[in-house]
Amino acid sequence: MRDTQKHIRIALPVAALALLVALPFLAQLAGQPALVTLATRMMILGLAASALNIALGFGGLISLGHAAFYGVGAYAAGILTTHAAEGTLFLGLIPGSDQLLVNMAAALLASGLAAAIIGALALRTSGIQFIMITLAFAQMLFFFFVALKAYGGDDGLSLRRRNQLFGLNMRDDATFFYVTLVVLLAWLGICARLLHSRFGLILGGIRQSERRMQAVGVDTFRYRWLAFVISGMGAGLAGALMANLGRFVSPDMMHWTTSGELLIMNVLGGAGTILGPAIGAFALIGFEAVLAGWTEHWQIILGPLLVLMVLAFRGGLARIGRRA
Amino acid sequence: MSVLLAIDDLVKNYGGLRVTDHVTLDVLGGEIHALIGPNGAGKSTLIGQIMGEIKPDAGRISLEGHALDALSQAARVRRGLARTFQTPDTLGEYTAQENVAVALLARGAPARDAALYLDRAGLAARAQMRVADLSHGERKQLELAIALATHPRVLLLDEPMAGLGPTESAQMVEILRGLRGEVAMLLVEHDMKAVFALADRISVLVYGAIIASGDAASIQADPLVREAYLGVEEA
Amino acid sequence: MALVLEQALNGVQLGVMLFLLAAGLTLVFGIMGVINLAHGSLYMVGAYAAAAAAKFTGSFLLAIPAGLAAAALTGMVVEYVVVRKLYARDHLDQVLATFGLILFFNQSIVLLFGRQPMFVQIPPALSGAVNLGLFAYPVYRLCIIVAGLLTAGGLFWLIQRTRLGMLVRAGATHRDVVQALGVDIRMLYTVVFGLGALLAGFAGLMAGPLLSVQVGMGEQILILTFVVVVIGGLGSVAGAFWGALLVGVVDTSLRAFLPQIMRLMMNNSEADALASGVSAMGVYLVMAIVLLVRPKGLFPGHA
Repeated sequence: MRDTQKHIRIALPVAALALLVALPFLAQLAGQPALVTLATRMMILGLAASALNIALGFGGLISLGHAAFYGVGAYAAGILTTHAAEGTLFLGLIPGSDQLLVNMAAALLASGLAAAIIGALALRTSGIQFIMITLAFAQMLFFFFVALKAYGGDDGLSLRRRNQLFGLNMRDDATFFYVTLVVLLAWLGICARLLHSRFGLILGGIRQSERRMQAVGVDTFRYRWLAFVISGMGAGLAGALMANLGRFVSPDMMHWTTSGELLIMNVLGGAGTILGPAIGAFALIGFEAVLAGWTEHWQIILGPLLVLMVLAFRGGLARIGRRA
Repeated sequence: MSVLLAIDDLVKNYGGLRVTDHVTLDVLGGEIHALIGPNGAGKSTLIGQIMGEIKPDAGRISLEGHALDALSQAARVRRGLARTFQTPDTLGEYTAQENVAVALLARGAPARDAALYLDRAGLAARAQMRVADLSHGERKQLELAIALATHPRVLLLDEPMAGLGPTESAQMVEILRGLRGEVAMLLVEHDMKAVFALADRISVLVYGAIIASGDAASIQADPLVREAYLGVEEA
Repeated sequence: MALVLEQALNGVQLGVMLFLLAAGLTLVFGIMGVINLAHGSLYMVGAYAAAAAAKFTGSFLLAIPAGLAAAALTGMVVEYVVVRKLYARDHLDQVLATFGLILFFNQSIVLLFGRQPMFVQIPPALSGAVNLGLFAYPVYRLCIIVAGLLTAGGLFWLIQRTRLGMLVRAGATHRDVVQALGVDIRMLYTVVFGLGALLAGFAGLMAGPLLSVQVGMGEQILILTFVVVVIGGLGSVAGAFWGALLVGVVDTSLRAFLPQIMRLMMNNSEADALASGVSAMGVYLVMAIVLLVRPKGLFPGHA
């Protein structure tokens, strides 16, 4: 019995991975090339949701502002790409780049810095205040980029072409799909390592009882802050990929509803697990795509469904995903 | 024996209520110093102040001659203070072994040492069980194992016998007796049988103030204590 | 000087509107322990109901009860159907469920009124300006300030002096005691939630003639209300009041004066761009400073 469960637990992700690897071929066979882009979008938001999971699922921090880090990462990549195309310097100092690896590193750095500052302030509180403050600071960054006329302001920033990587043909959607898949798998691997590391075990302890962990000498603020920063960096990485996928960056990426959707993905798939948030992202985006094909007012269905989902599972769906 | 933990003239007010009233108290190396007193006397608040969870209004606390007053709780634990909670505050999603492991990891010790501390607290057979499946008594023992894993010089025990049946209490007394000499203890406890069985010294806290201090015999004989405390106990 | 005073009044006007929202939000949190993201939706409902009533009847006088009633009723229904079940849940559940409510309300409004903003005329009796000596000030804005301050006064009186207020204050800390007094605590919660919704709807209907009434208006002001509540201190109505005035005045004066100050230092178009960015971020920076100095807000509530 236990063996069967164990087999399913291994077999399902392997089957899902095989399906993903085969997806570009299947999409072509089915004459649905748009599916590749949709699946890439799912993976990128899965990465973002999985990043939020480090704060939310591992650390118990309900951030309603992760769209900000996602957007900052997107802008970091977008701005450097623009400067590379124009042959100008960012802030008159930093040369642009059209290399994906460089721009992903820049996105990690920029979003990590934003998360470090916002986290240090927001973590001075807890509970409802923490939720409100993360939302408010995300809104502040939203306004910042709206006002940033040099990089498109309200209208956003269009990129001429995707970033380069090892001479691959990044313009090909299938190639970009595989690049995204590799980044997602690498990130999930990092998450798995983190969850079972000393850091992950202590962070999980803090989520369960901060008082207990303080009593054994843990500086709980430092762990939470670090979790928040890593979490923000992952969201920034997702942003850099999204900037490349659509060759477009705009303040709308940091809209607070994106933060809300990242939370939903986590709860849907199971916060605190390794694969759950990514699965939640696939489910939510897929569901939205289906509903949107049906009616433009799909939110009037999604909203009450969300309410029902929360009310139906006493104590929330998130618990179900945890080690029960 | 040298003084390990010294509390000097500690004062704490909550609004108009003085919960700690010029308390001076010490714990010597290797001894078990029991702190007794009726409910609401301020015993738990005192432990909170020693650990740095609650900031006192006045007074000094030192461990082995080093002032603790400006130190965070984490720094105090590193210096050698540990506590248990009256109502077990253990990590519900973790196993007993993992509960002890986080305390070890917090000070950079290897997690595999957890077995050692579980054994000291009489929980060797429960290592792989999740906290949710442990009995109340076992959780109290786990509290103790976690505290020991921080490698303390002085252990502050907040009513380790509370809620235990007679057999479990006797077992806890045996466990604590086994630790005597290795780690000094400040034992806050209502169970007089346990206190008289374990304590080298007893202090009595009433309305935030220490009204008597001495060995078991002198405390039992003290008229002030009989009136303020033992009278309550009989009722 | 006149300009400064005028902008100060504009700041107070925004402040009292924010207070009407923040008071409801902080009461609901302080008493029921719930974070309600859909509080802004109630503001939107009030604004739309009033705008629709004004459009169909041509009377702003009828628009007022329509906006108030729609918001309060919607609030009580929402409490009865959804929020009531969230009291015992954790904050994540509350966030998700009330997020779902926002999606529902926004999309319902789109279905009923379309995506185009609605515009509401200032009622003729309140149009024009009144001479305040140094400068002339729009009558309508002055009315908002007076109405907001009167409501604030009424709310403080309600909480401090009446039986309902006593129950509310007691219910926050001693739920069982209130129940022992024979008060139906669930009824009390519905009433308090309805009161918060009423205040939000009041703000919404007053905002109608000043801003365009459109989908998403609730969330914009909700986030600003969060800033107010964090600055003022969660659970404190007095904190909500002073926090709202501070945020209103800071936001308004930055938008009014920063471009001119910036223009002294750089060319006009750059100055305007930078100033609009900084002034949009201004209140959030105030919040950051408050968090550094007093993480629990200026008036920490009992919660």
